[in-house]
Amino acid sequence: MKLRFNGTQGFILAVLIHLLVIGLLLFNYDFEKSVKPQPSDAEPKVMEAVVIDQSKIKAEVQKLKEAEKKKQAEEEKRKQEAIETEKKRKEEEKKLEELKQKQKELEQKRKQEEENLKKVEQERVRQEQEKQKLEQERLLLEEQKRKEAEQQAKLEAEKLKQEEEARKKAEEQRLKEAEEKRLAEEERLKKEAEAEKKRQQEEAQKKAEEEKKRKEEEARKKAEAEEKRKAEEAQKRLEAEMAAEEAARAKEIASSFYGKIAAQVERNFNTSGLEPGLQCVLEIKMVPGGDVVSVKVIESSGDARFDRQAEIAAQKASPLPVPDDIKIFNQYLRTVRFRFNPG
Amino acid sequence: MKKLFFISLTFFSLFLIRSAMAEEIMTIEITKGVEHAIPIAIVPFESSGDLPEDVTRIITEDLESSGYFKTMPVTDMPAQPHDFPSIMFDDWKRMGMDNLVVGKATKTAAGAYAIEFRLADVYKSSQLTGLRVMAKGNNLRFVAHQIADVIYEELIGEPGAFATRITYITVKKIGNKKRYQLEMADADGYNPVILLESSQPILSPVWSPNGRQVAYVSFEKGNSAIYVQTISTGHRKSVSSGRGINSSPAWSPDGSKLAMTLSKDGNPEIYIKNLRTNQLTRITNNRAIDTEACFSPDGGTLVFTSDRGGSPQIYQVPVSGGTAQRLTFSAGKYNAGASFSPDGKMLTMVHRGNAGYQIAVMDMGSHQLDILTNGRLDEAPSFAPNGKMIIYSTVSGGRSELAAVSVDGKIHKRLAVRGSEVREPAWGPFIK
Repeated sequence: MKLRFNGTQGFILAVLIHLLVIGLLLFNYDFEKSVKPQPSDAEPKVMEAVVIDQSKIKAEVQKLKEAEKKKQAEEEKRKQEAIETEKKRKEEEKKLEELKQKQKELEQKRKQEEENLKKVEQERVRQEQEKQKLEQERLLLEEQKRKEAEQQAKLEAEKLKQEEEARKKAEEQRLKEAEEKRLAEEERLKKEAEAEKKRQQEEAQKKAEEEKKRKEEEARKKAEAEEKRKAEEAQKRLEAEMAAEEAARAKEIASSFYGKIAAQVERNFNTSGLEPGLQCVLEIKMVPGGDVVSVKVIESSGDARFDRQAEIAAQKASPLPVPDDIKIFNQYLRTVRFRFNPG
Repeated sequence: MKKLFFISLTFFSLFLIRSAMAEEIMTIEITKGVEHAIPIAIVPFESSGDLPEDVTRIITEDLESSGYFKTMPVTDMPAQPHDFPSIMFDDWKRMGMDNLVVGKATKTAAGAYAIEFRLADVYKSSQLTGLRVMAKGNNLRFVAHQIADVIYEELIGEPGAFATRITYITVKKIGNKKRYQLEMADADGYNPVILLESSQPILSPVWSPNGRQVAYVSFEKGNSAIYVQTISTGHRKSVSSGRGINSSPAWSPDGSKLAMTLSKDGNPEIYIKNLRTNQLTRITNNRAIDTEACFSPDGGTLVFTSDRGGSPQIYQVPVSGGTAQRLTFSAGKYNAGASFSPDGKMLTMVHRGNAGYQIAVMDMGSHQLDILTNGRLDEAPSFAPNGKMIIYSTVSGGRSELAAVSVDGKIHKRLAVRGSEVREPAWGPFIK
């Protein structure tokens, strides 16, 4: 916003600004925030008015009074603001003054520093000359040192060369010895290999001989066993034949007793009153001597009386005729069966 | 485990082979036997108090008379036990005794007797049968016969016929008059009772199938007449008394009819009379004599005697009538008075051979005739109800008496019946 200034208004404004600045200073008021647009005409305007009625007038009066009051308040405010503006301006001036002073001090300080720099430059040049002199001295010294070093190096090299030769000589000696050793070793190994080979050959030969011997022994044993087996077989065959003959003889003897037994049982088998056409099978057990010790019907005729008469016959016929030979008795007669079939 | 199993298997097989070798079970054929009477020892029964009858003796005689048994004399017995536990079986075995009967009779408070007996199998040391029977004094004989029947049936396999009865005719001479009696007795001839007495001839008594009645021919009215008499009451009834001959009554197996010989039409012919309806059916019609009819056990046919072939021979005819077939062919000889065995497989008849009249049996299948007796005048054969024996009359020492023969002709016995003349025996049925 731009403020327009003229005669009294400018003055009043100045007053107000001063007041404002003072106020702001007094009340530590925020200046920027209090700024408000102001009307250009500060004078109250008198209105041309007609009274319509008393109450309206009163209201109007009241209204006017209030407007007046407001105007006064605003005026007051404007004065205050002017005071404050003035105060601010003074402060600005003071600040400017202070700045000028400071610049002056700075200038002075700069001049002082330029002086200082000039002095430093002079010192530097002097030091540079000193330095060059020292450098020359150092180079001289170094040259001398280098020459000494060279001398030393030469001596060293000579020494190294001698050492190298000695080392080479030693190495050659060592190699020579190693070669000799290797050859000796080879010779030894060769000899050993030959010995081993010979040993193996001997061993193989020995083994072959043993194997041959073993095989011969085996064959001999086998032949013997075969012979023995054949002899045994022949013996067995003979025994079997004898046993078969013996068995046949035993059976023949046994058979001769079966007929006698049958006749004796038949003499005791009472068929009186029995139905014809029946048959049954009994199994009897005897003890040596022919005594019947057990009679069992193993196949019934279906007729209890027939079975019973058969059982009685077997019991009554006891003792039955049996051979004295216990072996024949055991094999063929200890247990026999009777089939009763009288027709 | 497997190995063990294998080893035991091997052992087992070895054992099998060994035992097969060791014991060869031979079967010996027994192709014949001997026909001996069955040995039986009937130990005298122990008795408390006096028994009016010798029960042991009755049983022994019954069994002995059948021909199937050989009873051991009391004097040969190694011991006389009376009950099963006291039997020493080995003692009896040593004697070759197969069967043993022990028992006792105890008198009860009521005056009756309790008879207890056991039949033992000596070789098995076991009991075959055992019974306890109550009997009154006057019934002891019959009870003894019943015990004999039990033993017989156990050992022979068929019912005994000891406890059965017979009828027969006796003739007594008193001065110069004759006394005819129809009598009934036990099968052994003991305990006779008179059923009918007459001064005129009585002929041909026959038992009704149920054993309660007897049919016979009586001349008491001067002419022949057929009567049926109830045994228990003595009540009798004339069933045929027509003109001419009324003879040879024969019961049908169901007892409802009587076959008979009548000459009312001029010539003796066979008729069947229905006893309920009195209806008479003529079966034969021939100029020759047809008589002595007998029903087959199945009731389907009749056998009878006829001389239509020139000599008396046996013929068979259906009960419905028709053509008669001749069964006997002994040319010029004599076969008469035939009757059937209880099973219908045999006929018994009077056969006249060179030596006289004898009892013969004929097999109905083969028509083979076997002569069983050797008397001069053997007549009136009648089968026992078990078919094993035939009772008949025979003349010995000028007197007629009763005898019995087994159907195989091996067993012969005489019956002890008092009287000068005993004839026309008839064996009654089983008493139920």
